[in-house]
Amino acid sequence: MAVSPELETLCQLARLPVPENLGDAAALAADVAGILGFFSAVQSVDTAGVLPLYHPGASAFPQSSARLREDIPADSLPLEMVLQNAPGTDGAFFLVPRVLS
Amino acid sequence: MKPGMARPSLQELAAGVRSGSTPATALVRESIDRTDQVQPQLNAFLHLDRAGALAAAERTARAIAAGIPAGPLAGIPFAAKDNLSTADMPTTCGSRILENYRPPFDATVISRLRAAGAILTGKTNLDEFAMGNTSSSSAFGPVGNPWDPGRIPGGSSGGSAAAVAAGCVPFAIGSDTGGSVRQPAALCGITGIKPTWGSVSRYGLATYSSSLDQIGVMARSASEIAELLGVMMGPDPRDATATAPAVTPMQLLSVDVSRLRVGWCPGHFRGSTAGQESLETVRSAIRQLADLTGGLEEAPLRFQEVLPAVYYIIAMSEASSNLSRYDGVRYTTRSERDGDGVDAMIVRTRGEGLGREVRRRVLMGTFALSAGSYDQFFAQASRVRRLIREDLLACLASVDVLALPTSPTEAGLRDSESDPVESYLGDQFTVSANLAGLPAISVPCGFTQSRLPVGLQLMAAPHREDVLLSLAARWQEVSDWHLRSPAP
Repeated sequence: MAVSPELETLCQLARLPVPENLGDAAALAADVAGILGFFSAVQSVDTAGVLPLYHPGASAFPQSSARLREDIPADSLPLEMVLQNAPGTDGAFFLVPRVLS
Repeated sequence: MKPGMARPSLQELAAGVRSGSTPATALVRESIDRTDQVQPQLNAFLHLDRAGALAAAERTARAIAAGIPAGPLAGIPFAAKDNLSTADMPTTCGSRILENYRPPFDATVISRLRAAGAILTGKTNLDEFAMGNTSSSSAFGPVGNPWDPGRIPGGSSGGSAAAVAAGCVPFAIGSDTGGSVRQPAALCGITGIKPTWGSVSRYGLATYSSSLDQIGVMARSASEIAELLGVMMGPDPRDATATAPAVTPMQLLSVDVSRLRVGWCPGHFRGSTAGQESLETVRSAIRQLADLTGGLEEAPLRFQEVLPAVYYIIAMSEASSNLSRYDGVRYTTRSERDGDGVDAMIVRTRGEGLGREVRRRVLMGTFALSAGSYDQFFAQASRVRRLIREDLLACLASVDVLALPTSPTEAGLRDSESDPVESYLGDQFTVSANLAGLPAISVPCGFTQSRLPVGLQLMAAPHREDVLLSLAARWQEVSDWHLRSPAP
């Protein structure tokens, strides 16, 4: 087998191809290991009792946290514009390869 | 904008257009000629709309001749990074997967600049999906630095920085997720700002990392940038995160800098030998700031060693989610190879259309968000992010502005294929502003022995672009680094 089962699962989750030859698989495994080592620096900080911060708007601009607009209908893009870049369309929907056999 | 000659400022150009003494057509033609001249060496542009820009200039000239009031940027040519949507030009993000994509609309920032009279001449090259700090990972070839085409211009907005530095356009738009406006501005010897997160609408920006991305702008001077932010900033119903009020250029330049307290962190100057010369240049510029302001204070910042790891975990995680939209269904490109149904089509399309660094980041982000790793990586990075932000805000409560390097080194050679982790460390001084949502600017502050520009970075509390621009403008009254141009 060219890649470890873990790396294969990760590629599947990311919707990316699993490397087909040994050289590419080894290079990817080395990249992943290197970046994981780099990531692990975050473990050195004591964060007991600290809440995660998911975006910087929260306290910089308190009134803007999770800001929602009024729930009123508004214009959106016309259908033909939405579909203009689709590689497959019947004019009303995106077309994809057969999902059910 | 002739090479080697003193170039007029954007305000001078705009005044000339409005008064009728400089036809908009002449400005645009000059911009296109200069771009055609440097493009073979720099590869700064991915698309140049000669006919469209000239037609827009002719409309401007006719309107002015007819006495119709002109906008503040009437007739001024500009360029935009190719991850900003434009209805009349391609928007590739430097990626094969969007090679034929045509957005159905203009990004808000593009429509605002156009409404103010500015004329978009073209779209600039970048690291693929803005993921990089070299502008070498574009699917359409690397960008050269106007000061030495054999070197990188920085990135990811390297095409925009090179276009301004080479005199193709008086200003250019970029995006900054971890330093992508400031670092190329520094390495190309121009001024570049990343405003506060939520102060410039991101509608129409191809998203990389939503909680970090911010649109910014590059020009030669801080006073020109104030003029541009006056047009760019302000709320937008199409971007719920764009909530900060609009400001005028005059407000942005109105702070009395003589009383500002400037903080600096000694830890930022214990760099590698490779960057010693750049860091010394920045250190000396900071000493000079003491005379212009209320003085310097040491500001010991915490968490500096973990900044890159925190940043990359969050950026890659958000990227893995945001880039899931490139699935062969909506955005032009779909793998030609058939069989095996929709899932296999998606995987093949992404494998063929996304470049190596983009795939690497999507993969690592998927890992950091996956069930067994989420708490250890994504959640932990987000907790440290809160501590980083609190530390910076506490520091910026005791000083008005932080002064630090923009880049740890001068522009590196173009062909050096470096290890990914090593290249990530190039962002060590810029990512904190994105993690904390702070505004930050890079201003030219000298040159290295190899005649390569060095940038000084200034960072302020949220929504204090006025502090940054007032201080940067004062610095540019007493220095002329920003007026130096590379050899033609």
